[in-house]
Amino acid sequence: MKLLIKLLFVVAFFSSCSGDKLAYVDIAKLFESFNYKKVLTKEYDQIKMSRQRIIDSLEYDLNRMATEIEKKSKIDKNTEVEFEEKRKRVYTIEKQYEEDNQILITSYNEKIITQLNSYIKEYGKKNGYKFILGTDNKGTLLYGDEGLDITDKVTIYVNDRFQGERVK
Amino acid sequence: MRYIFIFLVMFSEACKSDHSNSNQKISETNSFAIAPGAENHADKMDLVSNSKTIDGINFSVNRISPEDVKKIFKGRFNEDNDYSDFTCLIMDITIDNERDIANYKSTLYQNLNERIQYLNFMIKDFISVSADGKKYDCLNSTFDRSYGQLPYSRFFLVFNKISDSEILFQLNDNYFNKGLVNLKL
Repeated sequence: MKLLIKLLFVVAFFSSCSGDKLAYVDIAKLFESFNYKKVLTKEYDQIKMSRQRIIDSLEYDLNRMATEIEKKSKIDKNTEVEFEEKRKRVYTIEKQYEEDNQILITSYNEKIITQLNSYIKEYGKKNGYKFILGTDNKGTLLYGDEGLDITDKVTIYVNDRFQGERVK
Repeated sequence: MRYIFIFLVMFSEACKSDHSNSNQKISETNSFAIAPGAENHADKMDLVSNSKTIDGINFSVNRISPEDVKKIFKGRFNEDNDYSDFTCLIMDITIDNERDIANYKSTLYQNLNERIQYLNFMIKDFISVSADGKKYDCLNSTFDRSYGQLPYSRFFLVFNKISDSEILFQLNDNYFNKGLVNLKL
């Protein structure tokens, strides 16, 4: 009898230790639903569009010049040099804008991920989770019970915190 | 019987310990830290506060009541009501591993001169408050550098008079590069 009680005690003790709260979130879904991501995407699109407008106007100017040159039977040296310089300038600006856009995306993503991670950490601590795993459908999490999927709850929490709500 | 009692005690302790610790930590991080003996008498004030920690940097904003603004400036100016037409906030920034934020390795403001200039003058251009569908720019900010003597850095922020309704404080942080910091007060 004593042995049975001891055994029961040991089993219960270990089972209570292994009862750590654990859940997972769909990273891609969370990232797309995060309001700060939407804000920065809008901001990025505006910047990208205004840069594209500048390039379009420069290309239009270049194309106009090319049409005029084509019409002429004889091209003078100065026009040829001017056209070549213009073409190089447009190309340089285009390349520069492409690089700037890439830097902007990286910087914005960094800000989004930093904030997202901080809010998830806060959510985990507040709700007593030992682990919150991230699934991205690339094999990092092979199976998770649907009951452990807290993506929707976390999405609401991170958006509330981003909007400036107090910790409830 | 004795074993069953021990088992029950251990089981209940194992169940509750983690949750109580985490709740305590959260409440600690969200409490408004006021330095003992701080010149603005913030410990005696009726403050509306909110805070958030992003990547180890805690931003805490506190709204000061008009009565407390009067108390702060009492005896400092010839006229008592110098700030009575304004709304004042206190913003505290605390970093995990660096007490003096002027020493923070900011990617955008790389040398000390630039950082001091930003913290003293430029930061106000990145701060605004929204209330009742209106946006209020920060009119003035005062950086209270304590050279690491206090665990936080304090900014006194002044806005045009805002009604008592809920306000949304916004800092577009490019000093720490943490992005938009929204706090409702």
